[in-house]
Amino acid sequence: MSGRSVVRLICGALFCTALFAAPLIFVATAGAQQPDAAKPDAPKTDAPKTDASKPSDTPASAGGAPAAAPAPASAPDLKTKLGRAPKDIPLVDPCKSTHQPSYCNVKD
Amino acid sequence: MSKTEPPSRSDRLSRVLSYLVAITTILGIPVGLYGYYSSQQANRVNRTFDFYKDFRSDTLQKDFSLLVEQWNAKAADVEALLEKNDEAGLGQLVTSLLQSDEAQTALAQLVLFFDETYSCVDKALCDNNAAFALLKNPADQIFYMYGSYLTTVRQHNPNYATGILKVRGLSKSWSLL
Repeated sequence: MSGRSVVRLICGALFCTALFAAPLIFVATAGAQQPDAAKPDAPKTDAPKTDASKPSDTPASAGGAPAAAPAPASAPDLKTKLGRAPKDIPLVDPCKSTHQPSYCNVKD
Repeated sequence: MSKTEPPSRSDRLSRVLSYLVAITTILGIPVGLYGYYSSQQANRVNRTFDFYKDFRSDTLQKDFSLLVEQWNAKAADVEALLEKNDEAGLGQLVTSLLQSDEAQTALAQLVLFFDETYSCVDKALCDNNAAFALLKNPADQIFYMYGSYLTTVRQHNPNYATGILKVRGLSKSWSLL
């Protein structure tokens, strides 16, 4: 085998490696550049927005049911992905009632 | 009969290099394709998350909160109507909640938002599973509260609030990526 063939093979191998490594590098770079917010389960380290100063936003203020009592500010498991407390939950869910209205079964 | 000569060193090197090229090619194509589709998938998820961020923006949260607050203010009435199995009464109550311009605007904004979201998912520009995880629950909540009104309007205009119904009907799909 001539020296030229060896050089050609090496160049071919390098070319193939570069060709197929490029998408991998691209994906790895794109993954590394994703903001933390795009990873919903990533814990936030900065101070989250608390809605404790807005009692009117909590369902309890509107309906007063105990199930919708405002979450304690120190309960991190109740924070949603953007650091907000889960507020604005309908107190009555007709579709989970024993007398379910017919519209609950409407499918598009 | 001639004797076959043992392969020379350069022949062996040539063969090894040939194998390397073949292996790189065979492995490289699927890996490259996987990388390409992964990046496409990541873009779809990001786009869906942008919709979720829009939903969590102050404007839409204000609209959503208004609708929930109005509903919660009538929680006792709703329970009473449900106990009596009075669907017509519930429909009237919901319609009365939507009499104000503010409430109408809030519902219209949310309907438009979910129409856009579902359009994105339907055209495969957004990720089905991310939409399912992030936006199905809010769509469900809106429908639980104002479903009687939405279905009434849909009897005359079948395209109204299709996004809300479609998003609440999303299911998790299996994906390699």
